[in-house]
Parts: sequence; structure tokens; C-alpha cells
Amino acid sequence: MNKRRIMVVDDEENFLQIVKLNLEETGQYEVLTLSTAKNILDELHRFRPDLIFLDLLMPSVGGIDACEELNHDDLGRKTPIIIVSGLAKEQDKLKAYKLGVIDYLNKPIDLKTMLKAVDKALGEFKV
Amino acid sequence: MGKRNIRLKIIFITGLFLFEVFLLTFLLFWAVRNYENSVKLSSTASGKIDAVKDLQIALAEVSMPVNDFLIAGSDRNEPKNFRTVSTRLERLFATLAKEKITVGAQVQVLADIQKKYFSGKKIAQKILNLPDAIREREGGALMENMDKEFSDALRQAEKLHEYALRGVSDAKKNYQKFSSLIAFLTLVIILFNLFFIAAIIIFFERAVIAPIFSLRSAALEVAAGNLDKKVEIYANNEIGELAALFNVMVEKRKMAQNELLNQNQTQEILNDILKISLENIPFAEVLKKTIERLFSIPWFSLERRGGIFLVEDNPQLLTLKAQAGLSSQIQEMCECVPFGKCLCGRAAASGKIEFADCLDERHESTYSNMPPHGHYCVPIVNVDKKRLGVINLYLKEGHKDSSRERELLTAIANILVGIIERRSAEELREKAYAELKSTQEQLIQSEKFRAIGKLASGIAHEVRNPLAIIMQSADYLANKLYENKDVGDVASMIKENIKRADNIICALVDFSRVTKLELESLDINLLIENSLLLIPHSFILENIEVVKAFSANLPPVTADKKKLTQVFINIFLNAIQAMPDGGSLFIRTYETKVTAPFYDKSKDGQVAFEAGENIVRIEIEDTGCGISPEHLKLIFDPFFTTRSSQQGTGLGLSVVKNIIQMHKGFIDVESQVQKGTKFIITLKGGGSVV
Repeated sequence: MNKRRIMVVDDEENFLQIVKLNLEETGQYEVLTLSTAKNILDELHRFRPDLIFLDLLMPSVGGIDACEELNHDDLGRKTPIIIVSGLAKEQDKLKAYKLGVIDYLNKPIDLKTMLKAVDKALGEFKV
Repeated sequence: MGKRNIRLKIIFITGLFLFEVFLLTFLLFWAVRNYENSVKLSSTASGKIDAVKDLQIALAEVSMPVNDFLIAGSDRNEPKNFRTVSTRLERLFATLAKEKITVGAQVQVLADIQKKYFSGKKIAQKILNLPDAIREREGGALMENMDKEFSDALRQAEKLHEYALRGVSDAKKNYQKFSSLIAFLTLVIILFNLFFIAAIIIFFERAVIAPIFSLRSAALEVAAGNLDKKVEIYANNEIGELAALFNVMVEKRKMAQNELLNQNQTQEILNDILKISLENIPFAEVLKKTIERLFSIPWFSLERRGGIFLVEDNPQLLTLKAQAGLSSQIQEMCECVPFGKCLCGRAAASGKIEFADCLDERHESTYSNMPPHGHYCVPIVNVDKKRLGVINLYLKEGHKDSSRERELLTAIANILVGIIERRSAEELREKAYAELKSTQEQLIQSEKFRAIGKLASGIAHEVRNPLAIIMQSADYLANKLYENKDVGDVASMIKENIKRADNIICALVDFSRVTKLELESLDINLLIENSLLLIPHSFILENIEVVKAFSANLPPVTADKKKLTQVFINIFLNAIQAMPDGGSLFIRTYETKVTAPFYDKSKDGQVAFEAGENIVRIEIEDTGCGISPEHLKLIFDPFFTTRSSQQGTGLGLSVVKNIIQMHKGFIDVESQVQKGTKFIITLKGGGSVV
């Protein structure tokens, strides 16, 4: 059985590191972490993830900009996105939902909640 | 009646006195002269008698030598003796004629004597010259003739002697008469002078000295301050005039003093009223005290009843703002008086004092059997002729209109203009200041919240990232070492504390988040019931009794459901935490009307409720440990808590106050240590929230 691919985009290196460890520890997921959303489309096409965890507040390219970029890409549009953020403005949240984000998780998030969200997202999008 | 001139009188009296002295002195002088003359005359008369006696003797002797000649014969000595006697006689004639006999009849007598003598002498000489021969014969006849002549002469001399005697007697009589006259005149002079001096003394005493002394004593009394002293006017003269002038002067001085006294009294009353206006008492009380001050003016006999009307929003209507001694019937009848109606309305309309000494036709507001009385209705008019009100005072029937009273009342009305205008300016200023302060405090508050919000957002983002890493790390460790129970426990503990930290961040973000209210019409009773149901299970203690006293007719309140729910929950949690050993939680709701403008005690800019507004009250009271007064002041401050950090964030009540303020409501707290705490929330009832 092929492992599902999850791409995690966050400017916090430690967060990326521990999430990757946790998700991969389950043995079900292959994780790619990106500390910036600058080359997100390239990485998308290269890695072709089944799900993207995206932070909203990041330096240079923010989560909303990344969503918009993904929205302009066919593959990007098809890939479910879950926002994981410490704090977001209400209007950013709304924008994100409008851009097709399927869920929104508040930091600090525990592994259980994260896995539930992954299951839900991947289940819904299972063909 | 003509005025008598005292100077003329004095001149007249003095003149009369001098005339009297002169006259009597003259009379005395005349009497003395006459007396002296009489004395002289008397002595002359005595000399005459002697001379006449000598004459008689000589006349008797003169014939003797002739007789002897005839009898004894021709002795040589006889003719010689005759010549001696006759010479002496003739010398006496000469003396008498020259000095003694001057009166006509006597001169005649003396002349007769001389004639007879010279005729006898002629005969005697003839005899003496007779020759011895014929002496005998012819001598006898001649002798007879000679004796006859000499006898005639002697007889005439006798007559002269009588004259002389009579002269002496006359002189003596004159002398006695003038002597008496002198004595009499002396007496008269003494008596007259005594009388005059007495009269002059009495005159001066009566006309000058007594009035002057009376004037002096009066002047002394007046100088000592007795202005009621009057000088008795003794006479209609210059001194009487002086006394009358003195009385007029004193009267004028008294009037001036009274005038000054009146002015002082008026000033004192005005000062008192100004002082009253500066007292820290409600305005109606200032007006009432002003009326009562008027009642205490000693010279102003007022009935102890009256009131002050003011013009408020309606510029043609007087409203009774303060009264003293008015019956409730009159207060009700005269609560509002339109301009032009009754005495007060007329005074307000005309801007002039209305005076009535009885219940005349102008007194329109009346009732049957109204006791008779009069009024002063004094308009309170400012410099722009704007009517501010009317002072109404009751008078006894028949009271006399007095300019002095009018002047005082006008002055008081003018003072009231100042007081009323100052007061309304103050009210406007206070209102503006309160609004300004409220706006300023709201601005400060919202600025504060905005700053806290910014800070909270920053903190939330920066702290949540490491928390997220720790959270994931704890999960990782728990999964990796799942067979070690202790590691699992530690991981759970880490996660619990991350949640706690996150709760604080959430509260902080909620607190500072400026969100719009989602208003809807709410049944507060139902909202409280639902809030009670939402209290976390961990807080529900079995030994807390919830006592609800909800008003059945509570009007709906327009508010944000979620936020009000949060308010109630926060207060309930606070109450429950204050009663760890159990107790009672009383929840009361009721509707009421604001009776007097309702200001926020804490004066932090919360909105006040105006009188007459409908309000809904929610009281939440516990029987817990209570809050000490020094803590009570701080309980609505952010991050203030008396509990341990594990039990609360210190933001609960701050959020409560913030939400109530957003609803333009008011929250107050009362607490007694060891007895309990009561929160009282006031919200606008029914109407929409501004």
C-alpha cells in the first residue's frame, strides 16, 4: 500500500521536524516539509501531495498568497488544504475558506486532532 | 405770627435801663441841687434876720440921743452919739439893700423904712441944731414929729423882720422837702435798678441761657448717638429758630442714618442670598432658603408663605420650583402658571412688579373660601429682558404698597437672575464636561483595548508556535515510550499545561477583540436559565442552592446573546468559586423606572440613565467569602485576581464589565467580607440599544 503524501508548510523548523516525525511514525504517511511557500507550486508538482498543511502567518509568502497560487494551479485546486495557525484574522480565515481550504486547526494542536483532520480530509477526498 | 427779634429786644431793654438810670440820676441831681440851694437860702435868711434885728435896735436907739439932748440940755456928746447911731443905721441900710433884701415887697418896705428914717433924721438934726433958747419951746413939737417918723420906721422894720422870719421858715421847708425827695429818689433808683437787673436776668435766663443750655444738652445727647432727642422750642426768636434748625438737622441726620441702615440691611440680605447660592445644595433648596430669608426681614411684614417660579423649556410658562408655607392645594393649583394668568403670570408678562392688597379680580387662581390676602409678584428679568421667573410673596390684606419693599424685592430679583443664569451655565458646563469626560474615557478605554489587542495578537502568534511544537513533542514522546506509564503521564501533564497557557491566550484575545454586538431581542430570564446550564460540570457543586426570583413581566432586552451569556457565566463562576463550602446563589430580575438621573459611582465614563427611563435589573448574589473593600475597587481591572493562577485568568470580570459597557449598561458590586457579594446589572429595558 502506497503511503499518502502530506506536505507541511510552516516557517517554524522545529514544528516541521516534530510533525514530520509524528506523522511518519504512524507508518501511513510520507511527509515533505517546506519552511517557506516560495516554491510551493514546484514542490507540489514534484512531490504531488494528497494533503497540504499550511500556516497562515509566514514571512515573504503568506498562507493566503500560497492558497491563491495553488488555486490557480489545476493540481493545487485538487489538493485539499488544511490551515494550521496560531492566530488568524477573521477576514483571512474567510478568505482561506473561499479559496477552498477544507479545515482550520488552531495551534497548539495535538497529534490526535491532527490525525483526525487528516483522516477526515483524505476520506472525503477518497475516490 | 411775626418773629420777634432778640437783638432788638436786648437793645430795647438795655436802652430802657440806661434811660431809667439817666432819668433817675438826673432827678437825683436836681433834688440835690435844690437841697443845696435851700440850705444856702436858709443861711441867707438867718443873716437877714440878724441884720433886720440890728436895724430895729438901731432905729430904737436913734431917737435916744435926741431925747437926751432935749432933756439934759445941750451936751456935746449927744449929737455925736446920734451921728454914730445914724451912721450905723445907714451902713445897715446899705448892707440890707445890697445883700439881704432883694425881694420886691421887702425892698419897698426897706425903702419906706429909709424914707421914714431920713425924714425922722432930718427932724432930729433940726432939733439938735435948735438953739438953747428955742429948744424948750419948739423942741417938744419937733420931738413928737421925729418920734412919729422913727416909730413908723420901726413899725415898718417890724414888718421886714416878719418877712425875714418867713423867709427862714420857707427856706427850712424847702430844705426838708428836698431832703425827703433825695431819700425817695435814692430808694426809687435802688428799687428800679434792682427791678431792672432782675428783669434782665430773668429775660436772659428765659430767652437766651435756658434755650442755649437746652440746646447744649440736646447736642450732647445727639453726639452720644441719641437721634430721637428733640430740643424744646422756647420762643419764637433767633434761639428758637436755632433750636428748630437743630431739630431739623438731627431729623435729617436720623433720616440719613436710617437710609444707611436700610441700605446696610438690604446689602446684608443680598449677601445672605448670595451665600445661600454658593452652598452645595440642590437649586430648589437655594430658592427655598432665599424665600425663607425674606421672611426674616424685621421691617418687612410678610406672611410666611411664598414661592419662586422659574421659566423652563416653555418660554411662556412659569413652573413652581420652590415654596415655603404653601398648602398642597395651592401648590397643585399653581404648579404651572401661563404668562398673563393671575398675578404671577401678569408680572412675568409685563416684567413689572404686581402688587395686590386684597383678593382682587387679577387673582384668577382661587378657590372658595380662600382667606383674604395680598401679594407681591416680582418678575425675575435678565439684562436681555428675558423672563427667568417670578418671586411670589403673600401679604396681609390691606398691606401698603411700599417703594422701599419694591426696591428690595427688585434687588433680590436681580440677584436671583445672576444665581439662575450661573446655575444653568453650570449645569450646561457640567453636562458638557461629563459628556466630554465620558467620551474621553471611552476613547482611552478603546485605545487601551486596541493596544492590548495588538499585544495579545502578537503574543498569541509567538507563543502558540512553541506551544504547538511542545504539544507535538509530547505526543511523540508518549507514542515512542508508550509502554512507560510515567512518560505517558508526564506527556499528559505537558499537554494539560499547554492547554492552560492557551486558555490564557484565548481569554486575552477575546478580551481585547473589538467585535460588533449581534443584537437581538432577548428574554433575560431564559438567557439566565440557559447560562446556568452552560456552567462547566467541574464547577457544579451539590451544596450550592440556586434561588431564582424572576419577574414574570420582564420586558425583552436588546442585547448580544453570546456576550450576555458569557457575562452571566463569568459572574456565576465567580460566585461559585467564592463558596467552596457551599451556600446560596440568589438571582433576581425586575423592571423599574429611573426616578433620578443615575450616575455611575465609579465615574469611569459609564453611561448614566436619565430620569423616567425603563430599566431591567439583574441581581446575582452569593453567600460566599466576600471581597474586601480594597479589592472591591480593583475587581473589574484586567488581570486582577485573588485566586491562584490555576483557577482563573483575572480577566473574567473585566470582560463582564466590558460587555456591559458595550451594551450601554451599568454594573455595580456590593460586598461584605464573610457575608457575600452582590452584582447588580442595569440594562435599558425594552428599547433598542443605541
